[in-house]
Amino acid sequence: MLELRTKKHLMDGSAKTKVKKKKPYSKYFRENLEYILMVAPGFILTFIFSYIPMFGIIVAFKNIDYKKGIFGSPWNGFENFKFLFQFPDVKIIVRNTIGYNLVFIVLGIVVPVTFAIILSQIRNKLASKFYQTVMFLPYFLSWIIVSYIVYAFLAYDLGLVNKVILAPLGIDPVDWYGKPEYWPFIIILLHTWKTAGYSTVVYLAAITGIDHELYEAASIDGATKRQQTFCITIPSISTIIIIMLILAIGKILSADFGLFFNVPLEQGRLLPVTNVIDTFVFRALRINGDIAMSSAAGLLKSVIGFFLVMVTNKIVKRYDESKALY
Amino acid sequence: MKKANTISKFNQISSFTNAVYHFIFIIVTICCLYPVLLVIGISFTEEDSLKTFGYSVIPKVISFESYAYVLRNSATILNAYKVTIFVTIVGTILSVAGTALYAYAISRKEFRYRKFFTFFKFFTMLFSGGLVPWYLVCTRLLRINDTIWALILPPLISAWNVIIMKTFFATTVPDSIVESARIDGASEFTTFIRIVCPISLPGLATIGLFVTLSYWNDYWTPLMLTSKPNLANIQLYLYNILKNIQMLQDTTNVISQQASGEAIKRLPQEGARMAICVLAIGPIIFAYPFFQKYFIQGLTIGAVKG
Amino acid sequence: MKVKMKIWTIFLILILSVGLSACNNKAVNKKEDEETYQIDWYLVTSQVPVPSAQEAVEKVANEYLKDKLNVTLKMHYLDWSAYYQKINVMIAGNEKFDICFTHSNTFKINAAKNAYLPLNDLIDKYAPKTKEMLGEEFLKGSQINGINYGLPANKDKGSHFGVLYRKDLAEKYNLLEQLNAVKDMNDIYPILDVIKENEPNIYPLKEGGAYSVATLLDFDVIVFPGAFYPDAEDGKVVNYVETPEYMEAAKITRRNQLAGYNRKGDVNVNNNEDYFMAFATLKPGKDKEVSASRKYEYVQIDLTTPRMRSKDTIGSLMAISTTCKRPEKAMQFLELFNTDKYLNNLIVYGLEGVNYTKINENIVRPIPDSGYGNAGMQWIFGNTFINYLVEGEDPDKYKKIEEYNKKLKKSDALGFSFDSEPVKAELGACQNIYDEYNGVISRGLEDPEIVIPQYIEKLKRAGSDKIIAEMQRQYDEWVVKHGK
Repeated sequence: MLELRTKKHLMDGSAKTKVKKKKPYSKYFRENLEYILMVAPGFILTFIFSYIPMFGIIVAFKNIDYKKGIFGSPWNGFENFKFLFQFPDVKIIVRNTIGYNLVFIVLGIVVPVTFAIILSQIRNKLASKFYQTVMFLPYFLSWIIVSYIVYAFLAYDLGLVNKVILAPLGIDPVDWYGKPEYWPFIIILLHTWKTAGYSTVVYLAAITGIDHELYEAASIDGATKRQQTFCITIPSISTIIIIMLILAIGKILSADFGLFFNVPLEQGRLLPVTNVIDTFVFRALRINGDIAMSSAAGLLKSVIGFFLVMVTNKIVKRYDESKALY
Repeated sequence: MKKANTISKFNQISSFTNAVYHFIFIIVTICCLYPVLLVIGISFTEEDSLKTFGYSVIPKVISFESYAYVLRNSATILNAYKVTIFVTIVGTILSVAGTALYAYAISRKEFRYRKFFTFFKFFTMLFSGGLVPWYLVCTRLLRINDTIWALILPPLISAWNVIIMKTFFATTVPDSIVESARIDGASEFTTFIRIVCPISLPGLATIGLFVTLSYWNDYWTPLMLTSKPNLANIQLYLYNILKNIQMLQDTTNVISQQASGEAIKRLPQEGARMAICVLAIGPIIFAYPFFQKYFIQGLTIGAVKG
Repeated sequence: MKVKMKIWTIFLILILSVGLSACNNKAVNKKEDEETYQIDWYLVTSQVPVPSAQEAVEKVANEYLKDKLNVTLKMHYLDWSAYYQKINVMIAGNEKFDICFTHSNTFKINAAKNAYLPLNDLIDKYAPKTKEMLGEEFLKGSQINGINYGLPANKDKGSHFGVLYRKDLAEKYNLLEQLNAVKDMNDIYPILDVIKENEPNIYPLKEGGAYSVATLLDFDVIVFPGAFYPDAEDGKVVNYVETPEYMEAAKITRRNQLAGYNRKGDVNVNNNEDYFMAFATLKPGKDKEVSASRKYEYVQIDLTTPRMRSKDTIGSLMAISTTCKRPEKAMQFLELFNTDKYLNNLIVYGLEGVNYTKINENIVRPIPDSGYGNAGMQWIFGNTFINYLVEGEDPDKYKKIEEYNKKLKKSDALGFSFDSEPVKAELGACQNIYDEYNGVISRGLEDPEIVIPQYIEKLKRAGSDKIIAEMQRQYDEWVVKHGK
């Protein structure tokens, strides 16, 4: 590829570079060059597939005319952003999005970390492996399939919950799809169920990397298992936990579309608790689909998310530089 | 010197705690396994009995009609599986290699530009130019559309994976190892391949698993970038069938209103959807156990002392 | 540092090359023949043809076309799932293609954004026969500001609403005569009561989503929430949610739900078999079509006046892209396709003996899994009247549709196309409110006296009055310019 050749040339070139400064620098160059070679493939691919397309951000500020193409279309300032703010219930949408995401972030760390720790401590390794594999299964089911399964549970007449659990107890059947108050719990439960397995893998891998001599030494010193967990395990994986936290905060305005749109089966009465920014945009653009408007929505989310990450990263840096994102 | 799976007896958790843990996970297992079994069960159930009896894990009336419907084009499906397997394997290898290299470089404090490259990658997680420019780059600039590379290259190096891998490298690889290797005159590459990678197997396995899954599940990239049927991977093929079912069933849809009996007649609806799900995920479930052995049994840190 | 400089240089080079190629409008794939022009035709299907089978059909078609028009045809069939996403991305990326199928909202949106060529002159010059078949008003219906951006397909040109009921149950309780005598919904309720009493597992009437008693009000909807009254002479745009008729209909639906006609507390899941009767969009022979695809036989009752409205004129169109190099060739091809029975059926059904067997002069039986064939999708192709009938269809189908077309009541608003740009934010907001309330009201899940006022209030806060005012303004302008 063009770039590698250039860099190879570089490598040759710098071997001949006059050493203007102290000796270590030639070695320093060589090290850094090797590093640069290492990042080269990723850099090139990222540049091509992520940075070059970024010119598309201008679409958010244009009134697109296909005859003129993206570059030729006229600018229209912030017109495309207006629809995001003119919805009377926009506060509810934002509340839903951020509210759910905050809960997801907390649970998305507490639950997988706990599971990973438990799994690493269970005595029977075979059982542990089995549990891990099984925990991963929900990740494979698409939200559409999950929506059918949820319906099988919550349908008014034939649903398992009403028929098999409530009826024998003499409780009247509940119109689940008509009662928004239950759905925050249902959604949070489903989200955790589906994603816990995936995140647990990350933490499990991190725990595996901890030096076991530390545990040995601690137990010899009389530390209980509990103390070991809190003083060794958790601090050792704290970096990865914090990184995952920061990344999640960056995504705080996004939502898992399948969960919020498909699972509630588009029931209108649930909208006040299931409409999030992404579903709102989708609905708004259904009739008037306009790539500029969806581009505007995406841009706004990106900017806010970016800002939040920067702030969080700065805060983390203040406590411990090594744990920050960059 | 201690392997991770033989914790010496006196440092184990108490039996009571162990039992509690098992109890928790048995419940978790039921919650996770039951829906999957349900899906499998429905896929083998006769369509009409679904309407009468509802869903159940053990079909009231067994039927293979859903699979027959979905699998009727066996040649196409075989090809789709071939495509998927090729893309997944090649993609995973290339991706893990590329990601690990990038992540390792930016995890080294000696690398002067690490901040730049970290930010460079991270920025793309939040900002994106959108679908159309990406499409233009792939088709106009690179001309990879309708080639197998269209399925492999675009998602190759994901920022998420890079950052996770970097964190793994930074936390699990002690500087002393790298230092000692450098003093011994090893180049960075050698250090990386011979010493760092073996230690980081859990992290590499994690990324490997995620990448494998993401390639396997990807229907979007072939949808957008290929139109030749022989480049369709299994997810795209199944997605098409699913969409057809949905289109024809949605009675508010103009399409369904206009379509005549012929098009609608042959659909076993619910069962087909579940069969599609089973076919889509079936093979890849075995990927997890494959990677799993690297989580529980990572190679030891004994190498440091060695 | 030298290294840093090199990095930035590479950056700049790459950015420059991007700038150049992004402005580049080169054609993507084939070289163009100076002589024979290739037409790239994008079509949607539910079963993508096997490439070899499709090529076989194209080969025969191209021999024919070369003689007649000196063009070759390359068809691109895309699945429903991919179709609009692909087409929209291609359009946004200015890719070269000639003709594509399009319909309803996507058509309007893309046309408004100049994705398609204006066709008025092309139609006059190269497609006079098609123009005659379609008729002035039908063509007018899909215009935007007087310009045609798509060539509609010649088929049923309008529609009406009514109900479909299960024949077997009707026979069981000797209700057929009564049903045949039905004039409006009030005649139907007693019949539904009979079913309710005698069949505990069958729900008498399905209501929900887009179909309920309110559908029979037959509002001519522009874009939610603006609509015209069906037979209005005054050209007044109203918010149909605010109308007293809507409230009345909603109350009836509520009564139906409470009476147990509809599945209780249910979600709009597609379980059609459990219902005796359901609302539907109808045309002649609809019941036979539906019966062919379901387990039971259905009969239809027509309840509203058959009308031709704007939405009926954009049900199926062929558009010519602005990136087409020889639009006159494309239009000539469409004219030929719409009038030449041989070519038309070749493309719709494939090769005789290979993709279908001919039963007689006009009836065919498609061969399953032959790799090519569009049975069931004839309506996307330009002229269904010259298609062969599929075995099992009503032999008088075409006659009936032609009569139906002649008798359609034409809406005054045919040809008016609303430009949503000035109020697109309000429209987007109203869509979300629609999603919140429409399902509930059309299923009778809550008391309309409580819910509809909330609905209206939210719509107003989202700017519905502004929308109505804008629609009225544009309509009045259009009437002055293009008249009735």
